[in-house]
Amino acid sequence: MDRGHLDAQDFLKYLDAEDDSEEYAVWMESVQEHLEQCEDCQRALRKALLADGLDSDEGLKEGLQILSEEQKIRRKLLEKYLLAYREDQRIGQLAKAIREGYVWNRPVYKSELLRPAGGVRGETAGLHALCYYSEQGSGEIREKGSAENRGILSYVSWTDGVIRVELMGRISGNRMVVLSPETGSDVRPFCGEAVYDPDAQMAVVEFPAEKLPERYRLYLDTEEQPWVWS
Amino acid sequence: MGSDETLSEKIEREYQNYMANPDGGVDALYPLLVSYLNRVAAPIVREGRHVRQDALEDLVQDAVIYILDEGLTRFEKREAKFASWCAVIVKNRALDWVRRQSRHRLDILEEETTVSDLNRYGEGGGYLRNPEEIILDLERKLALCESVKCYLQLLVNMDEKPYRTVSCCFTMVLFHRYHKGSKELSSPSWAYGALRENTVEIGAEHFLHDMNSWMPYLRLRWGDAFLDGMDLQEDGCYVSDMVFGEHFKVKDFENWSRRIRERIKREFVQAEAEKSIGLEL
Repeated sequence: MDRGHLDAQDFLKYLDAEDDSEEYAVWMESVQEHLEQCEDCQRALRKALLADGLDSDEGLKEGLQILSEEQKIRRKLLEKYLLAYREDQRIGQLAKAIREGYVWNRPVYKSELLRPAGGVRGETAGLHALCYYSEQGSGEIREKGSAENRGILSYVSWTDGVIRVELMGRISGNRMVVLSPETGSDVRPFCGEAVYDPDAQMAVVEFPAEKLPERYRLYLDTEEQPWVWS
Repeated sequence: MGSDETLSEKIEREYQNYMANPDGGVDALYPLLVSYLNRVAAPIVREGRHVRQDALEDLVQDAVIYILDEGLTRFEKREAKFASWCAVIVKNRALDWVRRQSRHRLDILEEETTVSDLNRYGEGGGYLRNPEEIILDLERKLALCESVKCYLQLLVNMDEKPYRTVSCCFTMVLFHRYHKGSKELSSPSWAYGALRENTVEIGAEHFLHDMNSWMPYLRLRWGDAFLDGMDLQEDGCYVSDMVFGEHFKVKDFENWSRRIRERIKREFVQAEAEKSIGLEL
């Protein structure tokens, strides 16, 4: 008969590799059957294994080292997701990664590029477009220009077959920029690194406009992300 | 022997058969053991959400060889089933594997992925080596980051003698601030000396301020609990005097550190069990 979910004491006992007594084996009988069938307890066991690893000096040191690289890990993971996404065409993988918090690249604001009916803004004809964006959540759409979010001023323009994203303001290094189509689109996201120019005090990246959909979201990696404690 | 017979019951039956007639061999017992021990070790021998099949096979194979070579004669029928005894053996080996395995490599983070790489990859550039494995590895590291954060948060929330608890954490802070790459992290005797040296002439409030400002990226903050935990007679004392009172020697520090960490581990496991299973434990 199933003995029910394991509790904290059970997990700690399970991690005890010293005890090979008969009583322990009898106890294992009751635990093993449940553990094999219960995904929840298996998940909790994996967490308990992590805690067990942190309990040693070496494990804790390693954990702290990895923690100090968390930002890099998240950025690298974003890159890998994008690569996998481009390779496998698994729509939604990036969005899922963002939703699940693997990467912090939240949309700084939603940027909508709309092809104009004719070159309205006096720019050369063809691919030129008006650039609109709205700050996420505000619902307010303003024409062209820039918006401030997290201290970074951004400017998106679309000329001569190139979409140019300029980041200004409180920026001091290269930043990853992602242009991602709206959900449901079969167009791949574009990822680029805005390269910082210390003289101009801005970071710039350009994307070939003809490969992009007319509407997309612009994601910008954020350097500062407070931890959320549960 | 009904059709509802479980795998462990089948093993028990074959074990009895073997013991009654050792000349019959272990041909019937062997596949049952392999199958059963795989099931026992699979939840442990993992990387992230995925079973490490190669390691699992090796580990089970070793355990089965040990059991068939030595275990069959060493195990004496008592209350426990033979299968349970085998389960303990393979479980302990799996735990050993996890403990040996936990060396995480960070060099992957230094490997630059450029924009041209990204764009080339989709066009057959063949940039990546085995992207799935790399993603799994990174996801595992992130899971570890989350665990470390929870672990440290539990440390901050400890309600007993906060300044001594903080002193355990001080090791970690010092490690990050001054000793990146040091092999001495959290060695209690090193922490004892470093803490003592650094707090000889500072008061509790100053110390608290330093602690909080040294670890901004950790987003951990000790608040009033730290000061509330002080005894009246400790008000105005130097931290060094508080933490290292006359009778609080390096051995006491080690014991304190060990006890705190055991408690954190217990609370961590309990918190994770509550989250995963939704139980009130």
